[in-house]
Amino acid sequence: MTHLPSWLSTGEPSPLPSAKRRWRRADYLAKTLADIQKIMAEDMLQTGVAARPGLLQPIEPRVKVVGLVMLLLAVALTASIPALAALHGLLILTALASGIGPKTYLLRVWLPALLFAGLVVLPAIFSWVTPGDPLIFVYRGEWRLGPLALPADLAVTRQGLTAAVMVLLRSAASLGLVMLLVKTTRWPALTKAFQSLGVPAVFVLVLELTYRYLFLFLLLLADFLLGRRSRLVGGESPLDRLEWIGGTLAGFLRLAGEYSREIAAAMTARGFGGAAQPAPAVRPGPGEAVYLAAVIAICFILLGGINLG
Amino acid sequence: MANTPVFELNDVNYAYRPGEYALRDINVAIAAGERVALLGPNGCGKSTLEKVLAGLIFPAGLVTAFGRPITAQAMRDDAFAIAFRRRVGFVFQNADVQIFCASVLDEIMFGPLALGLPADEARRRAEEIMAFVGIAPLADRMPHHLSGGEKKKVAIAAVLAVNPDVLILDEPTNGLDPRTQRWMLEALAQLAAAGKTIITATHHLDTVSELAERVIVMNETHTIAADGRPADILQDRELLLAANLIDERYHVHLHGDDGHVHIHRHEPGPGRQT
Repeated sequence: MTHLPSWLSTGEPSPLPSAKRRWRRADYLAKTLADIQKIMAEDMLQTGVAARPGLLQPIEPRVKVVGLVMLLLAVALTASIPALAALHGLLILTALASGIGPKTYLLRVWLPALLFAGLVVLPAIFSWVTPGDPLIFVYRGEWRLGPLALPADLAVTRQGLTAAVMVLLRSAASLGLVMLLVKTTRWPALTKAFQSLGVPAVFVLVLELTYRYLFLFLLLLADFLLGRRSRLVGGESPLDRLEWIGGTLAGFLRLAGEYSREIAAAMTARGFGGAAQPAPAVRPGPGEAVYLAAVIAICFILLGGINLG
Repeated sequence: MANTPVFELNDVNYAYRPGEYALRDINVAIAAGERVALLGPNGCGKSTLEKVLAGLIFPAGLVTAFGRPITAQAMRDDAFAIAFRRRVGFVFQNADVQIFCASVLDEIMFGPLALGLPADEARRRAEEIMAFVGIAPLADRMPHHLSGGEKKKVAIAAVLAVNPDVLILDEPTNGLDPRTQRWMLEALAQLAAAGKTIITATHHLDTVSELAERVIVMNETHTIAADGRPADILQDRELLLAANLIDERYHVHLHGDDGHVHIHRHEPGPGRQT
């Protein structure tokens, strides 16, 4: 072995300078790292919820999926706002009884529903989009701005508001139902349920592999970010950072390609010939019967069997 | 030199997820010039502890390096972070994650250039370190065309090119062929003789006595189970069993005062007790 270069000798370490307080925001690479850690933590949390005892957890996944599809159809077809509102109350109670906190429920269901469906349907509440009986006037009379003239009267209409509330309640209910299914069912059990209900095995296999390797690649990406951070021994210009991102993305894609080939080879070596394993047969019990009876009753109410309003 | 603390950790705890600790109640000081091995089974927190020491993750509790607290807030000060990273080099277990330049030479020159050395000085430094590590013929190769052992050497050379006071290595001998392993152990011995503080995470008992003069054993509860000389630690069969570092069939033989150790297992034969 060649001798150590003389400049590599180390004397007594010098103290570090004192750190100055900086209030600058973390850069987007640091945020990416924090986001990866948050995703991993959330996944662990969700796995914990699915594994702990609760109202929905013991229900056989296939039955749970069938019930969910029935409820989704009923939610899409119902014309009753009171029935939908009652369903929301029931969903929150079911979430609580299944170990999902109200904060999680609101963040996962109502926040996206309001942000996406809410914003989309907002224009529909006004008389310009949905004419009807005015409830509140934004302005009355004709507005003129030079040659431009706005239509006379802008009001929130009863018909528009009803339609918007209906869309919002339907979206939130659908999200809530899917969230309950996903949070209270272990992912492998859920994918096997899809398979036994007729979803093509290859599709299920892709879902399973995606979930598994998504996390592997997230961990790898986190290490890439830490690896870069550990070697930042000088100032870095935005251009340097962009260059690193470009190089890392290329390297990451190359690694992902190598992993994919290795994974395919490993699967082949273990006898994989393109067909996914059949889902194990599970006999539904009394819990599943109660669940399905409750689902049918809710569908009956939603579709107008019992008039709530 | 060996009395100045480079790192001091007081009541350090770290959890990747709420309630799931990777490190618990870690209290340890590492002096300048020490050669320390972090020994423990898979998942005990060795790599996490190394990342804490390298200022990559920030636990609860107090971590000081070179007399200054290392916190997320402190590392937001670029001048402080750069001064720290110049002193502490970290070699990841997976060399791929820290190699990001287009060629081996670029990779090794990255650090010296970032230090502000002129290009010719950076190149001279890179060539000397490549000669030391034995990768001079690979200078123009693309990193992804290298073998695992070569990548590991490039990663070490890239870190050494900055001349850090402290070298932290995560499982450096993992996946290396015997000749490269031997090279690694000798290189680390030379670096230690040159005054570097060397902290190595490993679960290979047979290299510990060569890697370190002090062994910190971590156990599956993510705490420090023992801290002592390799000879004492490696003779403590109960400790090694409890820390899941050996199984019932392993034997440790100690030769001489230098603490040279060899470890092997006896398979049970017919009519023979082990």
